[in-house]
Amino acid sequence: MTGQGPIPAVAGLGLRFAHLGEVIATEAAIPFVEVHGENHLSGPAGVALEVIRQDRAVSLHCVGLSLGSAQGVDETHLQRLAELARRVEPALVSEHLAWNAVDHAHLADLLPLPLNRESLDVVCHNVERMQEAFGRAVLIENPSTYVQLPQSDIPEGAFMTELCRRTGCGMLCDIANIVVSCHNHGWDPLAHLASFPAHAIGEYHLAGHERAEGLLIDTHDRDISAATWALFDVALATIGPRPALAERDRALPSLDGMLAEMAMVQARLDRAGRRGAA
Amino acid sequence: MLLEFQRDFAAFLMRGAPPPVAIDRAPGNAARYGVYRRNFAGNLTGALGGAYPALHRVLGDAMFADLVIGFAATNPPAEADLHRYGEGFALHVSRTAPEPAWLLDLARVDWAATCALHAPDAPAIGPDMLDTGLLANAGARRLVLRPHPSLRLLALGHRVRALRGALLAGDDAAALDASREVSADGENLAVLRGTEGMTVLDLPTASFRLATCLAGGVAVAEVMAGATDAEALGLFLYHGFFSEAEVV
Repeated sequence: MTGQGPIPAVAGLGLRFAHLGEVIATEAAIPFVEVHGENHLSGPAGVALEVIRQDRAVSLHCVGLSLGSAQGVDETHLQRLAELARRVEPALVSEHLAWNAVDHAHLADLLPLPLNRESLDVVCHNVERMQEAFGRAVLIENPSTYVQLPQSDIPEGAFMTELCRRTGCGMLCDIANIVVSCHNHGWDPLAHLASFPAHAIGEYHLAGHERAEGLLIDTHDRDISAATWALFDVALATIGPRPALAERDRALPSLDGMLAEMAMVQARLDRAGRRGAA
Repeated sequence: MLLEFQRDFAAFLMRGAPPPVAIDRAPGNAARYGVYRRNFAGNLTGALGGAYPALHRVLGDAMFADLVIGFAATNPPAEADLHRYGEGFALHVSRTAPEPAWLLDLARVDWAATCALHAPDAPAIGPDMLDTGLLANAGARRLVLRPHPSLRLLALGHRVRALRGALLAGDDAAALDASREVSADGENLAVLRGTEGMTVLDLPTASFRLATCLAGGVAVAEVMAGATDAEALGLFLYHGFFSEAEVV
């Protein structure tokens, strides 16, 4: 399974259930849509995605494979997602550097992983299993975190670089997650961005975050912050343009509002493209 | 080591056990771990709020969230697809909040609707089947109908359909009126994602028995021979109760 072919460095739409019908009906230019695979495994949302993919490139963003699980990935869930991918033939497939399942309990969040040699071996094994099932290289997203685990002894950038080297996977660089994690842990966002394997980055994410009790919380429920936009500009200048999108999971605006945000991302990509050409 | 850490973290999220790293080891750690606990509770509350929308509305945000946290402590999702999470929650609610007595039935309808919404897709047999002569030919004696994957038949102790409709419409005044009028004389419902989208039908007892027999695989001829509500089959076919007819 090779997918729909590469997506150029354009802005896409983070598509959620509330907008499925409108996206099928609209003639607005939407270069690609990104969906959470878990939301389209069955029912009308699954049917809708098969309709949408006839006209638009699809990026399949998975959230429940738990690539950091010491007990391995849930084979049944992996096969359901791989089957969805066979039907939809996504241009991109991605997951997270996180875990959410242990002893058959699925914990419905992207949980922090101690970054050390043991975890690296576990994640490499699970990513390889995912790539085998999907028959393609996937992108792995850097997480937003709130705790620094004492078991960690490999910096996130080095962990991601080694993961990409060993498995051949790419990286989904979430700019907002960098802003959130760096604020929460007192890291330098520019240095953090620079520590990631630039050549492996195949997509950018942006999103809004909340500020609470001195922490930044990755909520995906509001406008993108000025700090995230600024770091995105740096990424475009230093790493280069890639497919990109703004994520919203709660307090969804209207589809017009989502498309306006998509246009803001596209404007940044265009500006970076012009600078690159000059 | 990693497995141990993940088990400790799960116990912290689900049951409030101490987090894997002592919270007094670093300043502010309690707040930091609290983010994960809130996310866990919030995500599951959101998932079950979607699965039980009428129940959520009647209980209110705070009580509903408390019930979800209590449920999740011993019944976390068994798979990553949260659309399939929530079986057993109705029973948990009825044990934890036994009044009013119709709460369990309201929750059962919610869950049936959720299962129907996420059931696999399948074509439905339409009423034109009755015109094809299939029922009259020699094989009809052994003709059985396979239920549409989304069909759920519920025999309830209380009449909650009107109340649920008002709750889902967000009409609090109508819901209050309907809640006063919930009677305990029972209600037979068919819930499905049929030809008219998500449908909740209140069936007369005779029709409900007919639907139950047909969905259970009893031959059409046998069911219809004793039927007092023969026209009901046309109604079932109109709504898409069945996805396949088979001579066995």
